[in-house]
Amino acid sequence: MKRRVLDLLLGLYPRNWRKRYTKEVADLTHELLEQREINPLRVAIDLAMSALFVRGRTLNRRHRSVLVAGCAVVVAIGAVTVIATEESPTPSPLGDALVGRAQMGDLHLARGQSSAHFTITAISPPIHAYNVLVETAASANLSVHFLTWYGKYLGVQYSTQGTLGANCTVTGTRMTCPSHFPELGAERGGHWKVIASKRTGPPVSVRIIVTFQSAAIDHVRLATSGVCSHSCTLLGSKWRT
Amino acid sequence: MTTERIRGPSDRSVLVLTSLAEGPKHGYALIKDIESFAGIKMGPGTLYGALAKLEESGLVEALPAENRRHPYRVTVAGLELLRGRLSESVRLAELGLVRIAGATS
Repeated sequence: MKRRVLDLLLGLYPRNWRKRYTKEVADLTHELLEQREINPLRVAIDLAMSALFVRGRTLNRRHRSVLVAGCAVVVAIGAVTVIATEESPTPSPLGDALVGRAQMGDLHLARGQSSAHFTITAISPPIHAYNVLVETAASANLSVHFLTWYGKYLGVQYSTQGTLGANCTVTGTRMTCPSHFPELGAERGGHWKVIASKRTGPPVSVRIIVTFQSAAIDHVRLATSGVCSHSCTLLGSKWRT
Repeated sequence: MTTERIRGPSDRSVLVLTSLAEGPKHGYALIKDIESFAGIKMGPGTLYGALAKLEESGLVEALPAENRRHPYRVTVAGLELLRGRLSESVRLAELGLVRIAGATS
């Protein structure tokens, strides 16, 4: 995100608020962008909306309306600017060549609260199913999620223990947690991070395998089960793909 | 700013207090912790909107900066407020679950 865009967004906040928090917000924003934890468009909207709420607490109704209109204009300008300068998503050149191909990462999580990640390539167009297999120590309590290149968080395995780990099977000292996601929905292909996290406990290693599948099989399954995606249509009393 | 404006568990301020109840954290750590336990990914504006409200109410306080990071910690008043809000949520959850059980039995 360009410095002038960030300065413009921070300028929306009241003077006293800026005096107190500008440096902290700017430092945090830069760190989040450097770590690719958030994309510039989302930052722009977040800062503008937050400024609106901070300002709105001190204004009367008429001034609040003017502020809303002004923020909408600024967000629109900022959105156009960041989109024009935003890094393009890494293309998915392999396309259907990725179907059925396992994308695997071996991660090591340090003692205590820690996380690790690797990168996969998600397929375009966004109508595919995918399997995720998590393999780790039987005693590990991990969570796994995807972070897309456009900043969306997709939960995969919220915990490998307890009721949230009901899909996990323990064999000796090892545990495997398979998950099937029948519909990729409107997600966009490109590079995604696969992130494993834990809050406590000893160091642990985890292997995560992601395999994308073609949509045809799952649409048949969805159609016959009566549950259908946006790409299915209702003809008479039955779903058709 | 009164503490009555800090509401239930989905309120961003409650999420920040819950994270700080574990120990002092800077902004990046707060965002990551809240994402891990609540599944909510806050932006920097949302986070500092909540931190400012909490600091103004005396529920959190800023600690000396470390490099580019600015940690905060919860105050005694903040812990008491959090305890009260979460206790209310537990009571409501228990009541709701009992009524659901009654409605489906």
